[in-house]
Amino acid sequence: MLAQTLISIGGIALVVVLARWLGVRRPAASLDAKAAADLAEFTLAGFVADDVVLGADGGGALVSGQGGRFALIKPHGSHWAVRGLAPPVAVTVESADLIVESGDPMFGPVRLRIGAEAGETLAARLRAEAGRHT
Amino acid sequence: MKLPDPVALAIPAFILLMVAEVLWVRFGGRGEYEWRDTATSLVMGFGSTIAGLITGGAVIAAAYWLHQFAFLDLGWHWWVFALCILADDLAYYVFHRSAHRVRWFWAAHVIHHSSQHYNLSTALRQTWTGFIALGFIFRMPLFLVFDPAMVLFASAINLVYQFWIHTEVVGRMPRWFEAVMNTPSHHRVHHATNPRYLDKNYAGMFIVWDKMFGTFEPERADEPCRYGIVKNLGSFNVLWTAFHEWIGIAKDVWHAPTWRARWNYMVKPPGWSHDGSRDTSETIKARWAERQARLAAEPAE
Repeated sequence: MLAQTLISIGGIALVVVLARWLGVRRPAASLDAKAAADLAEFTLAGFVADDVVLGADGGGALVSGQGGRFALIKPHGSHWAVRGLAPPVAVTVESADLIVESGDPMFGPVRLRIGAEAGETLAARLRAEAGRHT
Repeated sequence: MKLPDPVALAIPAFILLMVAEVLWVRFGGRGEYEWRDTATSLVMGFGSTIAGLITGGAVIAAAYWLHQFAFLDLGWHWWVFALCILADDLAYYVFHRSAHRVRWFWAAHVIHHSSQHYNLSTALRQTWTGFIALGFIFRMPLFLVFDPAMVLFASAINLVYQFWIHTEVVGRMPRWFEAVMNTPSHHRVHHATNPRYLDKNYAGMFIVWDKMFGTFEPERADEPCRYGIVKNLGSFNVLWTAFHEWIGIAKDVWHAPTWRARWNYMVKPPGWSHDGSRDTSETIKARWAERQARLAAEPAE
């Protein structure tokens, strides 16, 4: 039993260290507006993308869709993870970043580098839309 | 009869094959590894063996208790082993199908599907809460026919078999093998979130069950698999990985407006909600079919 446990722990360490050391991780495919819209439509059933706000550093995207739906996209390892958001979407602006709350502690907030001015404009628009839905 | 533990014997081979797969990917072969994802999978696998040690005694005790009511004594012939492996695989199919269709069972099984990668380490991404989810009840009828030691041996053989099918390295096996056995190609479909592939290919060792019960879907060259779950975790944290669906059930049951809704949040398919605001695999497939039909009609307009 002890030998089996030690072999398992050693094996885990070996595989993880080897995967990291050899750098086999493939970076997530680059996210342009079309890719973000496609991803949102693939992931969220019935989602029809209207407009895409991309983080400048490839840090994610906020896709607005028909019917007041939103898709929040963030990088997750070699892939992208998506959450559907319903209004009101909670956002804050911090220097050049728009921080979008996913409302899911496991997923966390997503920081989109879109510039201070664009961030303020979008935040104001989202707050106005949130006001209409509350 | 004292039988060897196939899982314990296979662990060194699991490690060597994962190392070989990492090297294969490193030198340009098909496949993908992300070390944080792999770490999550392997820690989940290790935790699963610990959970199995804690709860396994109760399952074995239940098995031997039930076996005293066995209505057949088939003995220990080779053909009984073969029959037991076949019967165990059918029990696995029923368990696995239920694990995708009943949220209580899904809460434990979702862990295995929660990686967006598909490699040998994904095979070891196993639940810590299988006992709570009552997954063992599906094998219980077997103890009325076969010796518990034989059933547990067959289950272990099944588990070991399923390791090698979690890979993108192998494309297709020979046609005869693909027709009968579960293969990497069939199981990639099972791990995919493409609407066409959702809730398909539940087989453990023999793909024939899916063909018999109408849940078979072949892998298509024109539709690459996108792995993971409908609502991907977005986290490598093992605690979130292990418990997120249980937390989701608890929240839904707490906030449900009626007792009927509370019950349904536990036993209806994943994605069910009392107000229909969420997506089940059926609604996802229906919307996808609508979209396909719309796209197909567009050039004619």
